[in-house]
Amino acid sequence: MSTSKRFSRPVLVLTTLCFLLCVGTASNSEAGQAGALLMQDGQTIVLEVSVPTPPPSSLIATIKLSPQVKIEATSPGTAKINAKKGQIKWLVKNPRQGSLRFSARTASPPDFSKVSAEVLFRAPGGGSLTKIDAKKR
Amino acid sequence: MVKIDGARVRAIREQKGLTQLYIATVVEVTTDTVSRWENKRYPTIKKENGLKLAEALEVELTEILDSGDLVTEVKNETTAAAEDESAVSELGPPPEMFAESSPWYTRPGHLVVLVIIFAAIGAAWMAIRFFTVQPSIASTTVTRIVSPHFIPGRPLPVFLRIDNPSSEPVSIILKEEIPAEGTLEMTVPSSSGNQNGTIKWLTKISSSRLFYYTITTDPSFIGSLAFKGSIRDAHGGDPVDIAGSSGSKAGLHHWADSDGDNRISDEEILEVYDLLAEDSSDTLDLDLLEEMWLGEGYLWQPDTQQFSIVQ
Repeated sequence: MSTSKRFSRPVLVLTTLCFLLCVGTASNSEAGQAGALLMQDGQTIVLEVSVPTPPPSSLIATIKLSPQVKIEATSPGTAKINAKKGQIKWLVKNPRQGSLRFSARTASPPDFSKVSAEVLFRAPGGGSLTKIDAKKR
Repeated sequence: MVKIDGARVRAIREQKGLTQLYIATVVEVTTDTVSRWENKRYPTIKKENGLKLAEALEVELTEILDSGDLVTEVKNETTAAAEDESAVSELGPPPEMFAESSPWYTRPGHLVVLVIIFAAIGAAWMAIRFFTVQPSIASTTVTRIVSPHFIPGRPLPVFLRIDNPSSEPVSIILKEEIPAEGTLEMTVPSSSGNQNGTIKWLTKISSSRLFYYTITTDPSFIGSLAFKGSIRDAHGGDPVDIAGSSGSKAGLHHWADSDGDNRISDEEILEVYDLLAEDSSDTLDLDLLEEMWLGEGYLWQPDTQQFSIVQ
């Protein structure tokens, strides 16, 4: 037992609370607004999106490949493919809480360093527009 | 019983770097009791506790007795009662809950008083609210959202978004004057009345709600439409003008194309879907809007009265 223990309890409690608050906030912002971009089998680009909480009324996911890259297939299917720009867009209405997965298969292996993706949505109830750039994994 | 020297006990404890919590744990009393001993509020304690206290302080019992006071068998009723009280509390929460540095409000007695005071204040507040405060629309806001342009002959939606930040539902009368140049097509939800070119909704709003209507003008119309409306507490009071957009100009752009660049951007389609999130009526031809978004742009063809989509 030492005299320092006399003061350690409140300090410990406060520190713990601050830590939990920080960790909680950080994990919310990360888990709620995350996008990850990865390449599978050399020709398939996958975008994984964590739907924020509360879910927006709709969101738009975009994968940007290099211009002129030939896209063979997408999942889920989408009609918004701009072959000239190498852009694929998905409009998701009423997304549910959880994660969404979008993928695009190209005719030839794309240069992953030139691939990017983003997610766009509006916070529910007339909130601000939020754009998340997906992080490569 | 033995009479201890509280100041001496404190001095020895502090000299040895021991906490009240440690002493309380060894002697099996609360830190409050140790504090009382040291502050001489209960100088006479049970001999058994005195021995344990001396042991905890690693000294002989005689070293902590008051002025060499001897063990007395005379029982002081007051101090005995006090110690009994301590003994009772020892059966309760663990000693560490009442550490030396514990603030006053963590002590059981004070905590109960505090809870009672808060409960009384809460009950009084609820009673005052119940008998005097009526839900008011003072904090309720209405915003009109209308495109800066529209195509004559095509429906133009006019949105009225009501936000009631209060937790209490408020009864409101919402009125909107239809511009003389326009013809009302529909209202969502159904209006409570439409007299002399003024549509009216009488309803209760608990949080946020969207009202909208569509109007059309003659295809040959040139000029602007001006909108005017108000909200009023259904129980009385003065009407308050609706804020937000108040006009829309005839042109060649779709109402959702707010920047008039002949394409429906991601931002524009998201704004429409966000606005209509709670609307299930599906009356605004969102399929056409989505087709426009899918394309690279659109053009209004006045001769056919149709949109052509640029792929």
